[in-house]
Amino acid sequence: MSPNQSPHSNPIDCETAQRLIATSLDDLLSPMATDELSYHLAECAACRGYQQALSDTDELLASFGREQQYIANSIAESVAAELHSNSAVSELANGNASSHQHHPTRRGSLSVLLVVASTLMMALVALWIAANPDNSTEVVNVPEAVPSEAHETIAHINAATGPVFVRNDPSADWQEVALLETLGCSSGTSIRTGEASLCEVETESGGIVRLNRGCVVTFRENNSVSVESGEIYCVSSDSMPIEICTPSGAVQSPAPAITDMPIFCCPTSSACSVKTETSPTPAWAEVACSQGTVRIAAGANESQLTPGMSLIVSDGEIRPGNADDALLKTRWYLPLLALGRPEHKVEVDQRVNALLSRIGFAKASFLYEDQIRELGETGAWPLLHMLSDPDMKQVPQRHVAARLLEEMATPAMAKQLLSLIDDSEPMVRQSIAVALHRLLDGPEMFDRTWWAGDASPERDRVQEFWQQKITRRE
Amino acid sequence: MDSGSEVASQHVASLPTSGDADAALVRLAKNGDPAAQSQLIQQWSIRILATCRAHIRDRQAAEDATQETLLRGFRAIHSLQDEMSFGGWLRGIAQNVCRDWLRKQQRRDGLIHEERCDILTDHRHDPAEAELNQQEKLRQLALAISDLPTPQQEVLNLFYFDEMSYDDIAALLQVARSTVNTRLATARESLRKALTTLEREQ
Ligand SMILES: [Zn+2]
Repeated sequence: MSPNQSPHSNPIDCETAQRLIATSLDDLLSPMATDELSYHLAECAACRGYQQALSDTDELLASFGREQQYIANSIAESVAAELHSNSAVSELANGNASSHQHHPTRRGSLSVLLVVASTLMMALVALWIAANPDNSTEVVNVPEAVPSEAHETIAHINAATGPVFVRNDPSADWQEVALLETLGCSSGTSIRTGEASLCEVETESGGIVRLNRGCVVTFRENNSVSVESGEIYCVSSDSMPIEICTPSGAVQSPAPAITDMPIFCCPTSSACSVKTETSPTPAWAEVACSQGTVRIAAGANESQLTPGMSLIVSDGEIRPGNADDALLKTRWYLPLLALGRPEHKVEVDQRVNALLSRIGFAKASFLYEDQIRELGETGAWPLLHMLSDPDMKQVPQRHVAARLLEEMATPAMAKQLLSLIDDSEPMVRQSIAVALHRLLDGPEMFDRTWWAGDASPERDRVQEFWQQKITRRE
Repeated sequence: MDSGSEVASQHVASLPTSGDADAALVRLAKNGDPAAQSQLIQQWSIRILATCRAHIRDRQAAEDATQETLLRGFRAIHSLQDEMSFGGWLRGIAQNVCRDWLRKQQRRDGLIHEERCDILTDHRHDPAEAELNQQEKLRQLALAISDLPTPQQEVLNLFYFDEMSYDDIAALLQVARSTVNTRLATARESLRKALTTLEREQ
């Protein structure tokens, strides 16, 4: 602040004038003060400059404030959606994709990607449901088609969610597979998934290869898989790496020399997904690593991927791929896990835990919640275990787990749920009560808020009713 | 700097504790009324953002903290005893969330400073395009704000983000109206200086 006295016979000095200017931003000045100030300003360029600078700052602050309002609205919407997540989910299902979409500035490009991914997944799921009117996950029974002959078996099909086809050489016709358990692949066997089915193949060394819809792969000796088209996810065992090849360029070439193709090597105990695309030409493949390290060789170029990284390989060149959350990128194979096969149990547990912790982190959470819902009963068990685990006391995750159980718990869980009804957290107790009320079909007199506070006669009566129902069932 | 005696204090005092939420609305929200909850969330998201941004320099982290505060608050709203003190209670949660975040950040040691340096260098090697467009000005403003003491930032944010009155801010922060006045005036003055200096440097 300039201590200068104005050259003219002003009744106020610059310091007073500037204090009045500052005050005038918020409060009305008295008529006398207004006169004194305007008189001073007419004479003093320094204070006019000060007034201009301060009102510029004020205006800038106001527009900064408006920008923040916009951000706050977007946060408010996603919080409200999360709190009232049942309605949020139905909104999503109606194609009214998440509130994030209206506010692209909030989460930046990531959120846009997430929304795109979810919309795409919904379209795929819808397509899948449309193609499987009874939503059956049973494999269609047709006569055994593939001769196992004398060839050495190098892989076999573990599970599938719909029709799968095989052929033993490129000139043969595709045959629909019937009895999965007995189907072994020998070197050169190709597997194709239907437009709406997924399948999982296990190599003899314990590596797992999952095929997305409309995918064609050929298995060769030495744990080598070539992806002719579509997308696969691959986990190598702890004893043997898996080598993945994709054709670059001419896709129709029946058996391209192995050196013409980019090779992704999934060393032991690592996992990656590989997606091939033929347009735009030349053909390209995207490789994303989700566990361990993955090596890539394309022509003379080589590269190495660690979890979370992805690269695009095209025409012997390697360039950065699309950043995306690994849990979302591999969302397509959830229907395989939802089959509930015992060998997937550990993986489902890990996945549900990973999803819960993302939700706890409060980012794009209904996408993650949807993934847990997609797992159905298979996904409900880890939620229940988490609630029962005395070591798991992270607040947000327990709330989410309890809330999901309101809709996902199955009758077989009733007894364990009842044992948790006196949980220390009111939110958890209420959710468990809602789940039990649904599973045990009553009683009619029920109000979830009875579990919000201390025990009460109403509450005891309802719990007694549940206890009897469970005992009777046993 | 106080509003001097030259100023005819025209400000009409607002209703008592209007810095806090409407108790009837809070009661409805407590009983699980989703419309009341949404309305409260809508009302308070901006104020909580104002508080979180005052505590956490990193923009994204402050927004995440806002989201977490609202989720925690509304999931636990049934445990709120006094509906009249909803705002102060929610702000208390925000302070805890921010404190937790800062503690975690400290453990990751030094990160804040690195980020800060990035932003600054980013600024300096850019002034080729001599004119400061609005976006650039806002960025510099945000930086200058984050250099202010937290209490000043919080008042400034509440005033400009939500256009809250002095009385409402005073009620929410549990400080005297004159304190609000002083913090705001001091903050504005620092920003004016910072922005004028920046402009001169260009
Ligand atoms: Zn002057």
